[in-house]
Amino acid sequence: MIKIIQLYKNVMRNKLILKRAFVYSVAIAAGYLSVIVFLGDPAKGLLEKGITNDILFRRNFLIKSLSGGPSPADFFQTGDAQYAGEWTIGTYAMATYALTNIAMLKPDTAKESSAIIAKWIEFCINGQFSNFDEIAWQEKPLDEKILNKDYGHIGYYGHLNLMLGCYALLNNDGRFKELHTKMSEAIAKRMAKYPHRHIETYPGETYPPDNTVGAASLRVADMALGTNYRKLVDEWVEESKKIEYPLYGLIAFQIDIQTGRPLQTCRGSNIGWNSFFMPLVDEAYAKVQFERFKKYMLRRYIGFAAFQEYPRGGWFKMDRDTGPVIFGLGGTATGFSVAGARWSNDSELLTLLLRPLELLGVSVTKSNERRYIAAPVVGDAIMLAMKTACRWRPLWR
Amino acid sequence: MEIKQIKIWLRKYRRPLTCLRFLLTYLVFLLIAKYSSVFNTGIIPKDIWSTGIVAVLVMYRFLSIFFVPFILVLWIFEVIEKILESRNHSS
Repeated sequence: MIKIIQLYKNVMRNKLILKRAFVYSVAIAAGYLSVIVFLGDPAKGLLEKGITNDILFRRNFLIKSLSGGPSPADFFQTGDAQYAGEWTIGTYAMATYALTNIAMLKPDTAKESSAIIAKWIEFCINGQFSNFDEIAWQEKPLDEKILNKDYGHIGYYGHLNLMLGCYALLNNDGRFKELHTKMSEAIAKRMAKYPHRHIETYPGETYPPDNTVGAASLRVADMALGTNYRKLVDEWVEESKKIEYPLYGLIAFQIDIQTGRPLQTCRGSNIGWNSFFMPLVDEAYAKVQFERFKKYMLRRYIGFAAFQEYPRGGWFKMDRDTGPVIFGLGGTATGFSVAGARWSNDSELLTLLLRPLELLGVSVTKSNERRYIAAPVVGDAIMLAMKTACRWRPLWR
Repeated sequence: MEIKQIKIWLRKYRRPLTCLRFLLTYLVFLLIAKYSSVFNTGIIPKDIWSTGIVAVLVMYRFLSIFFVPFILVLWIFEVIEKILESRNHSS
């Protein structure tokens, strides 16, 4: 009898546990659903319209916050001039690409944008900006003698040359033509040096993603200046296919300058980065790379998606390129991949990728400006460039 | 209203009040973020303190969005259970 009562009590207790489990499951589901509903569809109208109010508001914020140039505090607060310089040039370069994209989609902004970009280029030519490259190479990158040499500096040269290209696509007044021509020639000379067609960013360090920017800048120079680097850039694409990391078929993060062999595995941050720059070099190859990236490194959840930083492991392994890495999912990898989703017209993926970025970024609107308050300005610049990624052309032609 | 009645009322609406508190704190946080320079980190992220404040905001935002419906659902089930209990007692 006692045993039966005991059994009855156990059943009742289990029922209670089951009931509680049900109630808590429903509550958790409601919370999760509420997060998805709250974030809504951040990609709404982005593919159909190209330009939305969100884009224009974020553009206003970037223009306002970068118009005065960086303050000295921006350079010294990290205590690492090289790191600060990289971030600063990255911010102005990404903002330039964002404004160029917007001008391609909304040509009536081209005139205003070209004036702003010209100002930003002037900042970037300044020694304070190129300091990060100078510290590494112990030589001034824009000196005539250095430009005529055949090694290095692609991190700085690539971005500056692409910024010059952006200006030239929007405005045909020839303002930076001389420097643009010299820089393009300097990149081409260096690219032709090694059989693998890649250039060092810093002494002994060769990063293919920096070279993608350089290759893109030569394609843009062909469009804007009428130069002919087509053959060289095509060779660069073919050589890039040879430095794909085995198993995944994705371009490696770092290679050996002498042999061209991968020194590091492929990483989400560099493949995501390439999903913005590679279409400017070779759309077909960019598509192949992004498809592989999705196949091997995309993680989809209900209502969200994110890209892994490393193909395997590295759950919380971070450096200055990765952004936050949480359980292997990379902030930079996911942010840059928005460009890939946009290029492949995948509105579902675009929404899934933008939701976690919105959740972590926290957008705030003030009058006609919008920004992510949880990210520094470089985050706003990157996201605006990625969200508006599109094909470029000379607007004056 | 007597204090006793207020206490009963507060006990009855404990969970919705928690939700309200969550939302109000989030709104205050958002207003501070919008109209102060606390989150103007510039081009490069600043010191560990501003990064910490940002992390707290992001966490709090997530918790507010997640926990308000979570708590409300629990409360709704609680109310339903009490109604059923009182019916059983009266029958």
